[in-house]
Amino acid sequence: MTDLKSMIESILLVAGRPVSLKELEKITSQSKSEILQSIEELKSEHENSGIVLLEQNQSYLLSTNPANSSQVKDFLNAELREKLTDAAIETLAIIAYKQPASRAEIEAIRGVNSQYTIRLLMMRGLVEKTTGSDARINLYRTTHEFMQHLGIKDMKELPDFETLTASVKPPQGFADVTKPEPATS
Amino acid sequence: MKVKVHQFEGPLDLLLRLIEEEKLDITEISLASVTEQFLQYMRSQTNIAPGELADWLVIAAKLLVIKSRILVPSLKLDEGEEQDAVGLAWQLYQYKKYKETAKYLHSLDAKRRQGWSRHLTFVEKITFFPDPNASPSVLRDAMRSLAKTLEEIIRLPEKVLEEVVTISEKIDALQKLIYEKVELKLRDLLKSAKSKTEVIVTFLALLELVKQKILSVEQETIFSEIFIKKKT
Repeated sequence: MTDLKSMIESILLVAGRPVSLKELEKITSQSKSEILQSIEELKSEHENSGIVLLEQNQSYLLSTNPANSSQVKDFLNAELREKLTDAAIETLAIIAYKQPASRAEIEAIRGVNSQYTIRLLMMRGLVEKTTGSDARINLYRTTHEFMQHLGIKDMKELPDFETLTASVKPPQGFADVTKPEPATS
Repeated sequence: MKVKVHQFEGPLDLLLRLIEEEKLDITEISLASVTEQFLQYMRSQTNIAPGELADWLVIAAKLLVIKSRILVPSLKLDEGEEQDAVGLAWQLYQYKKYKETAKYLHSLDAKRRQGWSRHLTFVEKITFFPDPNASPSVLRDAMRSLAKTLEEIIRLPEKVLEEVVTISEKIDALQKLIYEKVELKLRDLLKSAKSKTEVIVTFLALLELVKQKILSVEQETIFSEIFIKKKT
């Protein structure tokens, strides 16, 4: 068990890119459930360390702890990622809380053509394309870059949709029947 | 109330702002009460992106349906219209909920606490490897050819808008003419027409005036001259 955990950690360190559960299965020849358990342990061990383990859509990435953002940035002599525009945040919020979300769904909520904004979010690596049961429809979901940009260590840190929107009352004569699907990570 | 000039993310964003400024809940009645301001804003904005204009018009149309239903309670709407009217309040409500989630993500973004992974740090440090053959003149040529291809992409097809003569304009003109002359020939009327459309519009205007029993027409045989007279 301990061996598997250390194996995964080493692989994620050298990968420097998100590694999927499938890849880990293949390399370690261990079962899905054992890998997932090791991942959870690694995650909680790393929670307060300088390196955190980010998970999105069953793929894993080691990243610096957002708490050290400004020192790491200075060391790299890099700039922080640019702040997002209101339109970008609005679209990103819909994708984050509805994911996977189609362009039609996004536009139905925003009431405005969102093709350009979605493309911009993809170019910045904050969202990526995926497909659902109907392969003809492009769906969008958030990425590790999304977590790194907003300093999220675990998608569970995001308050759930009901909590965030509790203050918004439905219009007269309606009961709130629609609940978004829970985030898939 | 005057709508302050402000860039809105879209028609729903503006609607929400209008309702909140008036401290109203999202109801059909409050939607109807801000319809005027919504339309005023649309009229004042000449720079709504063409790609978004349709979205704005859709919302404007829904608002007008709601407003007319409140003004004329006896108004019967078909099922689709009914759904549009009820749906807008619901749509706005959903939008407002996601606005809340956006607010939260915005607060995270504003904290500027970001993480990096190993791969990205490499990419960020080493960003440019010039080709050894890249001399100023090669670069200049490359930029020129790029600019040229962009020019072709940007150049939009042009179309000249033709002047349109409406039927009501033609009707007015016809009525004026018939006061000046006792009898007109259709052939003379059509001589001045600049396009096929204008011929059609003139003919439709004539039919309308005949229907309204203002003019009468006579024709002796098929394809012969049509005489237009004032109906007595």
